[in-house]
Amino acid sequence: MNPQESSHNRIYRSRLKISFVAVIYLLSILFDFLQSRYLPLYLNLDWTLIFVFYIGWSTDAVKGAATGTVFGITQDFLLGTLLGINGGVKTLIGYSASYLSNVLNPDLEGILRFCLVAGVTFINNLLVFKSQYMLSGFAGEIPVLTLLASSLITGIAADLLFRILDRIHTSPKKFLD
Amino acid sequence: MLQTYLKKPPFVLTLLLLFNFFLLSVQIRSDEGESLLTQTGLAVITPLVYLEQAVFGSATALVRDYLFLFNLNEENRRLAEENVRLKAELHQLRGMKNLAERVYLSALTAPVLFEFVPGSVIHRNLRYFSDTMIVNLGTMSGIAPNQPVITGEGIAGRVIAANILVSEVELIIDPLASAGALLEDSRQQCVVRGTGTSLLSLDFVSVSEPVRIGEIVYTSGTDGIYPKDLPIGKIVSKKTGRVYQEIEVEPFTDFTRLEEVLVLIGKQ
Repeated sequence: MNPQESSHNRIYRSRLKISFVAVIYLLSILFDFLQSRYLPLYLNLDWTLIFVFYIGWSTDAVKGAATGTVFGITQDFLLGTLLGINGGVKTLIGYSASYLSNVLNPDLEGILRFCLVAGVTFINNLLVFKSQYMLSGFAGEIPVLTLLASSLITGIAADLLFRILDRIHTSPKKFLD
Repeated sequence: MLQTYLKKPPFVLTLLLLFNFFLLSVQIRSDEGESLLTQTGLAVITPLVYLEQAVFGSATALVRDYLFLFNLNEENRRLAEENVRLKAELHQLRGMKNLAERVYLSALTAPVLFEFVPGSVIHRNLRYFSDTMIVNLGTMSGIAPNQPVITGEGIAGRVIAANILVSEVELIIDPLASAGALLEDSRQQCVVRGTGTSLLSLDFVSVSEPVRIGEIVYTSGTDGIYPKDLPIGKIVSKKTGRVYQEIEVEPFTDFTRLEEVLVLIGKQ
């Protein structure tokens, strides 16, 4: 990580205000609410994951984890999973994203960022399904291929969304102030 | 002191994870039924559902009842409700007829009719992990958890939580729902289970048991929730497994068009 990128990342962090996070929170609720009712599982974009990952990536680990808990529990409520499953997993994701942004190049782009989000989504899906099945005593098979498709779609959407958010961040005054 | 700890990411992470674990631990249901969180959730959603009904329901009803149908809709709704009740009684009587035909059972079993409370579906939760609906009947109408919910076609599910005004019903197609079942021809006891799709899975039917496509599956009355001989659905596919057959059942109840239901609240 070179000093210039690090400074750029610090600007990201300082600019990520509570109003911006609130807008993202409402958007993730809206998207999750609508798609859980109208789209099949393989088309399920995990908006909450995308936003938690982005916030974790752009802020520090404490904020990333806290955002993960709040967003995740809301998602649990909307999807009907046991409260705390997505909460716990998204907390880990928010925390890990912040950690990864310090280790990796924060301006990671293209195929690498897509792979990163898709991988995280797949792990998230497996953890959520496995926990839900285990805790509720349901002995069904985990639809791995469906979850894989969902992960790829989420990865693509995340990459596109991050590009848009990156552009907004280049002129933060317009959007955030 | 606490401020210092709250700035340490590993400490905050542990705290948040513990909070999530706590949430999970209070939700694991006891055998008796609902958790505190379910009750709270229902209490929160009740005014929202009624508000939605008041805003959209009243406006729709106004247009439908007075501008287009001039009270015919009200009459139609009453007849539909009566139709559902009569169909349910018919199924009960058919079940009792089957029972009477099996002589050894008819000598031992007295016919039983159940007291129904008709209700309307006012909200449907379509989620990946659960399939439930809210019905406009609460404890004030005699509703309690684990009471069976049926339609004119067959069983629909069971009440999992109720407050004074509304109750939440877990549909039989929910992946976590199941019911004791028996086959029409052989009277083989088995278990019917929701799969999260429009079809149900029939478990524990031995490979040596003859099963017919189109055979009707009834409730067995052995699960402590559904009374015996209520129709569930018909067999639409079967595959032979190692020990048990893999059988799919199409429920008689059309869960995409659920409007009126009956809750069985006790024996008459």
